[in-house]
Amino acid sequence: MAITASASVPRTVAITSPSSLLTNPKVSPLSSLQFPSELRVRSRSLRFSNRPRTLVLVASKKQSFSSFEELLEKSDKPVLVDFYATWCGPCQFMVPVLDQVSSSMIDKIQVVKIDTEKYPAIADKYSIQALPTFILFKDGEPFDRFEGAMGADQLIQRIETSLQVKQ
Amino acid sequence: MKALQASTSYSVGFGISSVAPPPIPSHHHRHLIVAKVEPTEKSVEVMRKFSEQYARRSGTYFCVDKGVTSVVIKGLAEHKDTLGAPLCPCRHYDDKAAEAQQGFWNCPCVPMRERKECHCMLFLTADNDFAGQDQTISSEEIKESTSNM
Repeated sequence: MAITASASVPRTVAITSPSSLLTNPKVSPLSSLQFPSELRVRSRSLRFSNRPRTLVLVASKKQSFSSFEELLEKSDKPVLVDFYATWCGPCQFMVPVLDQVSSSMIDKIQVVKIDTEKYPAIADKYSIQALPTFILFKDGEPFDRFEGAMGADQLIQRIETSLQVKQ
Repeated sequence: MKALQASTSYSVGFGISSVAPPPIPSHHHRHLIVAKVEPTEKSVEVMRKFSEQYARRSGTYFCVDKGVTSVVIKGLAEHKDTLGAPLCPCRHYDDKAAEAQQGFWNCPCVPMRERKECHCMLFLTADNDFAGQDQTISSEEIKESTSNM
């Protein structure tokens, strides 16, 4: 597939979760991949930026990382990554579920969402096919992996079981 | 994609999207700039009708949460607009255009046609926990349940 590499960040804004952006203006434990730090997830005005190569991921607690790998490395907790796409129905179903799960498991895991259309290289790296795919990372490595939508209780169960079994 | 894999992760995966940057959306969003494309109303209507017919024909039902149904219908419409075919919106692809040409994942996809497996949760067999009772969905329902997107 032809990829045009451009030196400057394209004019798309990394709104990785439009619905949660619009409905959850309060601080959320979720981290979304963001372009440079001018973009504030919680305010309603966003500007395009021409920051070229350095890509800054701003987690909702305002840490910045230069790559997805760095985010994984620097996390002191296991990271649940949700690979999704905007027009994937089950992925949107999971938006409030993930809010709930990340709040109730805030001490145990960090939740990160990756828009596979905005970050296809990351999706490719982990061989993502069906959406949503969830990968639980521990110490920077994939640790557990599952697909499909489910309720909050089921997701919590799955994560807790996984973290217990594979110590 | 090969070029991306050769590089370190810091820049390439983020700066580059396989989808052309969406057009800057309309005057409605005065303060909030959302970079997301909406499908055309025409395509949404085509996919809405298709979904109703196919649910009837296959004896399947829409999700209890019609929001899921609506998002998928819009996703199918969006692909129909951009690729010429309703490629499944619940998958990640290396090359969407090639996939749309090839056809396996064009809705109704092969897994659905052969085994009534729809991981988009658009067409659900009656025994599925998420299956509702409806085989219909109106364009108002679609608009309302996706209005926050």
